[in-house]
Amino acid sequence: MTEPRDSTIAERLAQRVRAVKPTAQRVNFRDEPVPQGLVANLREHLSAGDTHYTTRPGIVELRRAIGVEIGRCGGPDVTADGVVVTHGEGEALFVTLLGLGIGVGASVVTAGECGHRRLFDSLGIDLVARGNSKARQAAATYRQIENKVNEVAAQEDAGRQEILALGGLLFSERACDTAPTDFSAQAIMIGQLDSLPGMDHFRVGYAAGPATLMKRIMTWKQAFSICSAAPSQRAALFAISRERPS
Amino acid sequence: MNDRTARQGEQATSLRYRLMELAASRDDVISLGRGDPDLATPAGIWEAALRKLERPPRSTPVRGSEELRAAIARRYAEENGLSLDPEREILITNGGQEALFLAMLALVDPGDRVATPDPRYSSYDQAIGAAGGELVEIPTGVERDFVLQADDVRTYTADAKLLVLVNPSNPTGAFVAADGVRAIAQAIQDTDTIVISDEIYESVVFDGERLLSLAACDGMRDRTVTLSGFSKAYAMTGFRVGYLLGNPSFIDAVEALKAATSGPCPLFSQYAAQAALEQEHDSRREFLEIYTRRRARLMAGLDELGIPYGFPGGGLFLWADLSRFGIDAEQFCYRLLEATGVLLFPGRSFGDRWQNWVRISLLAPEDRIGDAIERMHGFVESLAR
Repeated sequence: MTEPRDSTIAERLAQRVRAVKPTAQRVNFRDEPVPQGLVANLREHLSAGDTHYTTRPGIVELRRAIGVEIGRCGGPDVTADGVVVTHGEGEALFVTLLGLGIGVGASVVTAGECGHRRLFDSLGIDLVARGNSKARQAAATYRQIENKVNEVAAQEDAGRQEILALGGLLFSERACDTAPTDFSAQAIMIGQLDSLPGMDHFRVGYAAGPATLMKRIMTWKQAFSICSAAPSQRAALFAISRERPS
Repeated sequence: MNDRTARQGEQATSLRYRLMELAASRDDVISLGRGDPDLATPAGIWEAALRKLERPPRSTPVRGSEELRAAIARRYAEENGLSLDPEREILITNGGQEALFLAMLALVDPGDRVATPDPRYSSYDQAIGAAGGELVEIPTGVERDFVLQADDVRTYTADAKLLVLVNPSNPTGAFVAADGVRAIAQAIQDTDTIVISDEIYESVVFDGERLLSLAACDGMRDRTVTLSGFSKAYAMTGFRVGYLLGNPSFIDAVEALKAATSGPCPLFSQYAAQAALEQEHDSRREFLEIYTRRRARLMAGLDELGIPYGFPGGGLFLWADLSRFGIDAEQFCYRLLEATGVLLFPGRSFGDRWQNWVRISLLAPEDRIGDAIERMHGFVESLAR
């Protein structure tokens, strides 16, 4: 067997990834113990056969719990049908963009920092600032809520599909202090459950919004990765029920 | 985005999900539909993962844990004759489906032609469409048990950038044996194509045959991306662990896409995958014996019913022809489910021209397959009346 070299495959990479510089990418975790009772809880579910695909949007109790948290933070009413469980916030944004038909050549308005810039770049989507001449044709507005970046809606955003990136806000201690007060009923909210104790290495995120939009987003979630890992979803449900016993 | 190709895949997939939703509303369904092994994940796999969970690391690489990639490299050296650098040539994904999607985004530019055997798994269409590619169907037929032919590869990849093939096949169960794989490898080199070789069903090959990995053929390492995973081999669909093997530049590119989309796979799932590779008792052999018995039972049942099918040399499915009943297979599936509780998937969810065919899975216990055949007897007779 010959040693690998720069090959036919390497010469034929798609334009969207040509500029990639090889870097060893790592993700850091908080130094936290696994929540007490989690291992026993997972063992119980795995023994009972929770080793198969879940439904495409995710375990219904988990989706319901995420909807409840959105309401608790002053967001719109979101039922289980309006939530899709994902592998982190990045996947939630990715399938949301696909579901909204936003792809190569499209523009998305943002007012400043964007934690998902690499994702927009790799899909060939232009991020444009408010007030930019391209903003008038933009397909959506992206607002990053966590850490109060871009938290305020602007008049010029009216009429555009909003994507609100909540990060770990919903399940953090400060959720209700910093949550936006201007959730639109049509907004799609994306976020992750990493801020729950011991959950950062389970990679659970969500996209939530009007059920009709979520149905399209769910078909792309299915196409991308079928469903999120069943043990991760069970772990998230366990962590939520510990943090929000009610 | 190529909307037409993506929509075609979406519609085909939704056909299957509509039937599954209908099945979920009934009692006593015998599901011979979805490709989700009914067998339990061996408990030793998830018990080992639970033990590791108590001591999580402080960080993990986006491309997957070093230990899991090293275990995969060992497995390929032992079983597939491929010497892989686990640092540079392996990337862990959230199941085979994400592997396919990311590989497509890394390789396909808008307008590129992507060839794949017909019939095919419809998620290919969505991934090709999302990357902006155009699908080229390579015909296969019952006269050769749906086994992909090298001459057809040569013809249909002449102006294609990429070939996607799955061996053994989903949905037909066709298996391309070693000589056929070598001939296809030559055809690919003749047309200077690159290839994604989906080998997710590699552990389910019947009759003493073994899969020859396309990347192990002379001249193919340079132009092949290998895709596989743990879902089918170890009945671990819910853990969502797959992987890509390929040139370091390709793996770097996919890692960047993965970092931007889903990040590293959940650690617990990676622990389970590693445990699967390191288990003392290899459950794949036992699973293969079970699937072999089920295949025999299903083939005998279809013979009794007078339903022709392509010979399944591997994988988890049979591809059967319902033409003689005079109704479209989608109608057949709905009526069969309503009348008997037996769930099959209509051929049109694997390609437009397969309206008279159905995919039947081996993913129910042998006695339930027998029950399904019994139920189908009455239904088929009612159609004949």
